[in-house]
Amino acid sequence: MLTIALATLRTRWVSFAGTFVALTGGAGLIAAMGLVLAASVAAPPRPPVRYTGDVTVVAPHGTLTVSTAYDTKTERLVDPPGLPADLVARLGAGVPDRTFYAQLAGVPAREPAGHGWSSARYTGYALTAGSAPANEAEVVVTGGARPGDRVEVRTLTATRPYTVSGLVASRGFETPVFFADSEAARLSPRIDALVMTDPPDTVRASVGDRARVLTGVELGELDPDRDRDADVLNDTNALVGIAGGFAAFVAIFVVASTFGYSVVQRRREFALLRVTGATPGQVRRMLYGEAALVSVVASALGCALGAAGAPAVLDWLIRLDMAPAWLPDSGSWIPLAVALASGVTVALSGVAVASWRAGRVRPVEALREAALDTRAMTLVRWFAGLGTLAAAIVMIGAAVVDPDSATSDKTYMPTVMVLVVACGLLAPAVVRPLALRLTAPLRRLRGATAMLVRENALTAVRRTAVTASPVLVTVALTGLLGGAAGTIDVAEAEQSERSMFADYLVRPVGAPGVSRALVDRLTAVDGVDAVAPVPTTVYRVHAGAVLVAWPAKAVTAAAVPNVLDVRLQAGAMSTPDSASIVVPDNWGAGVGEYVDVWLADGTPARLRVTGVVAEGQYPDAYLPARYATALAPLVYVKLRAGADPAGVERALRAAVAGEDAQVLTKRAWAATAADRSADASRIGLFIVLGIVLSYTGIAIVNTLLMASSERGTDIDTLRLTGATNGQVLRALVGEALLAVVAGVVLAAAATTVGLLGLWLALLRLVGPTAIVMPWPALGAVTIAAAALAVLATVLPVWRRLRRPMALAE
Amino acid sequence: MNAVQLWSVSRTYGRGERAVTALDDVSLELAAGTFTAVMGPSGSGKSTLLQCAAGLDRPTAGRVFIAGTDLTGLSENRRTLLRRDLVGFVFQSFNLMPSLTATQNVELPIRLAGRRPDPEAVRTALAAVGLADRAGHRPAELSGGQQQRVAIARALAVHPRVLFADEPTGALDTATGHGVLRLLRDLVDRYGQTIVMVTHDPVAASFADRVLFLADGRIVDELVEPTAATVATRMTRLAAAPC
Repeated sequence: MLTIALATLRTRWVSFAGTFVALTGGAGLIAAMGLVLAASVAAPPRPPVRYTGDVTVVAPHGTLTVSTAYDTKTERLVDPPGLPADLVARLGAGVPDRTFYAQLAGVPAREPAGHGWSSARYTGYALTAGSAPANEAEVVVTGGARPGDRVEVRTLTATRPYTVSGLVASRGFETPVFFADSEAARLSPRIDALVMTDPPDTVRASVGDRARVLTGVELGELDPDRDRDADVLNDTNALVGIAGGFAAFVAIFVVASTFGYSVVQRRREFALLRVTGATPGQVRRMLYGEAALVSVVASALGCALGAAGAPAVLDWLIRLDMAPAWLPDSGSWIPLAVALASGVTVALSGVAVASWRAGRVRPVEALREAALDTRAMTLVRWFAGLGTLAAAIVMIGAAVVDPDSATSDKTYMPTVMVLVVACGLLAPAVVRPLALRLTAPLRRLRGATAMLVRENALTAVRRTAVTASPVLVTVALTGLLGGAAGTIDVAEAEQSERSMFADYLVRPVGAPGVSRALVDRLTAVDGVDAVAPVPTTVYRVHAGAVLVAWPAKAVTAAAVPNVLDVRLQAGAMSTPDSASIVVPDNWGAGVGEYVDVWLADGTPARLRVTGVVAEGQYPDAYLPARYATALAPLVYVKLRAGADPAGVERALRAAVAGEDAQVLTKRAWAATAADRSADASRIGLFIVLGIVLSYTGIAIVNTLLMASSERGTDIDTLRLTGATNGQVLRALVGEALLAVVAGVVLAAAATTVGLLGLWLALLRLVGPTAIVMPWPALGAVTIAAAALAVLATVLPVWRRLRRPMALAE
Repeated sequence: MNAVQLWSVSRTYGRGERAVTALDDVSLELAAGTFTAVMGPSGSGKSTLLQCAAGLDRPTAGRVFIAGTDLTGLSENRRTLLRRDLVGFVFQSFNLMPSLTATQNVELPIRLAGRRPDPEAVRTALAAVGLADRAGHRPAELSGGQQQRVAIARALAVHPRVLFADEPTGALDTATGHGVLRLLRDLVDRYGQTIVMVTHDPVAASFADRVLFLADGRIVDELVEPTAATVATRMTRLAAAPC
């Protein structure tokens, strides 16, 4: 009886340690992700970036206010005009600040910006080499050239030579080119802001409501990358939200299965307690008490680890450009409370199910040599497993019926989780047929390994299933998320290729757009029609009541309807330099009529309608190219009938040579446009998935160590029966690998069902597409899982084998 | 030829002052086809004797021969291979693989030795221990006596030169224990099997041809053609002897 007690204690220690590790890791994961999410969601207003020091800045309102029949409507202008000249004249003092497009040719730039040199001192720039621009022909830059170098500088209208007079250190948020003030005024006459050194109240008094007067934190409103920063923060929220969801899911999955197993492992101990007179209720109460104690301590430790790790995760996201750099760590206690509460709740509910069984353990089982575990699927488990599977199939069905939602993370992620849970619950049912099938070919062999692996797996179904669970989660998440990402990319590529009229596309490299000179050269290439639309906005009062910011494209070319997907219902495209417009049919204006609109900078204009475009849900308006206020982000090139594609491609490439641009075929463009593998959010998702998977990796090792703790007697028996160390290791490694295979098979089933659903949805959405499997990632994850399983099996067995055999006395 | 030979075997556990001598210069020879019982009070070294004789444990000094093969200086792996071919074991706690059926447990040592089990031979072995109708049952579905019979069938599956039994009836009730002992006796009489059995039960010892009495790691007495009564008398005398 003493040996039983000792063996129970040893088993208990390992299973205790196992649940402790699972809980600590799970709570840590939830806490860390929760803290990062809290940091991102509760981000404070961003401190001003561009303007530094104690200045007051006068800036235009940047809005269009229109009185309609009912009231006054205001819209933000996409291209705000400068400060009114009379206001600047009246203020007299102040440094004019101009911001316009300028960048060194051939030097890739993020957020390129040209400024007058006098604004440099108010925006945190100081010379690190050389001198300030002394005349119209000199510039100061942050890099890519040295003082004295001759450089080509691109602006909206032209590319001109300048001499670098000095250098300033980059501040990260823009890539500036500083011109002499006079040159800046020539390149961009409007004054975007006026930097005042007078006290704000004085300035405010003289400005009145003709412009904004900003100071302190308000200066952040003028930051150039404010919108982009908000986008990044949005992405961060989405990314961390998804990651946090998966972290919580995986943590709960692993903790629940580990706790369930630890109770199964301790059957013998419960039977002993029952023998000594414990009532089923006492056994249950003991279990709850233990679980509460262990889970509180383990979760608290996990919270501490999570709190320590969260800043590192946030740092990592920032370094990878997936979170704004100024985001402070969260000091919120809510994620910690959530992590602690989930740890305790999951542990207690894991025990709730298992303890019901534990309380029913009959005392005689203590006297049994070993309890067989051949029927691990209880009725409740069948019910729950098939129920979740049905739920997953209903979710997939709903996604196929409404395919637009199928590709969104909000629909796909929960489907993935429910599928994985269903497979986890049904795992024990799969273990038996799988063990039989896998060892069938080995059955005729005379060796003992196949027989031992098969029979051990068949009589310890729970053990095999619980070992398979973390492998299932690991492989299924990789397959389902990676497969969905690749498949959706390919579908989108096909979609955009199909809807693309042009044969070639010219896109900028390291610049926001294609220079006008290059557009002219491309238009001149023989045998093609080239169109370079520039997105802009026209404002219009719709139905006499609503001010609408209407998307428009500034483009002049008769060929537009051939090259872009534009269906002219009546009339023709606008002629260059005319005050005209092509309107969507829902504007209700006919050819030859006049429409009153406001342009992107708020200038009112009366334009003659030259054409009407039809169809499409949201057709753009088309304006003549002279209304363009930026560079074209993409040039569309279409072959004319009879043109020689090879010759045209050569001519296009020749035209692009030396420019910051490249020529792509329609197919190549579609592939790169849809390939989001380099996207911050995609990389971020996989990095966070990596963190989650390293936890499941720990879980694989953990459950195997727990499982090996009950194998001591088996190992000794095998050795006494004449097994060499190698044979013992082979049998146990075989068992572990069988569990890994069971996990992989279940994961394959989940992945197949999930991706098939996605494929059906995409079939309805864009037609037949290929399913792209992340084979390298799947291979790596599977091999890693198998390696961990082998390692976690071999090490404890090896330790046991080095000990002398325990003979029963 | 002798099935088992021990030449002045000693086994000491621990080192220095805390060293315990479990076997002290024991020499003995066990002839093939004999049934020997080893008796002695707790701590007399009888289990150590069995483990050294069977090659499970390595003596500190002396040499052990099984079927003429010297075990001295062999690696653990070599000794395992040798044991597999020459030795069978039966333990108090049966030590069956709980996941395997009776048939599979019997097949196990054959398969471990890399041979294909002959289904007919396995059936016969199970029939010989009276378990022909329990071939497909797992240990948890068998009674203690039945489990011990499976263990005996398993031990005999590789036709060992010696069968070592360590308290084979220790976990069984008297009637079942008798059944198992009669089976062992039968194996010696009918098939000439060599058996060495460690026991503290005089009745069990009376089934042997010869009884060796161990005290403080030495063989102190011997009894041929024992009966339960004579064994009990010798034991009482041993226990009464001053230590």
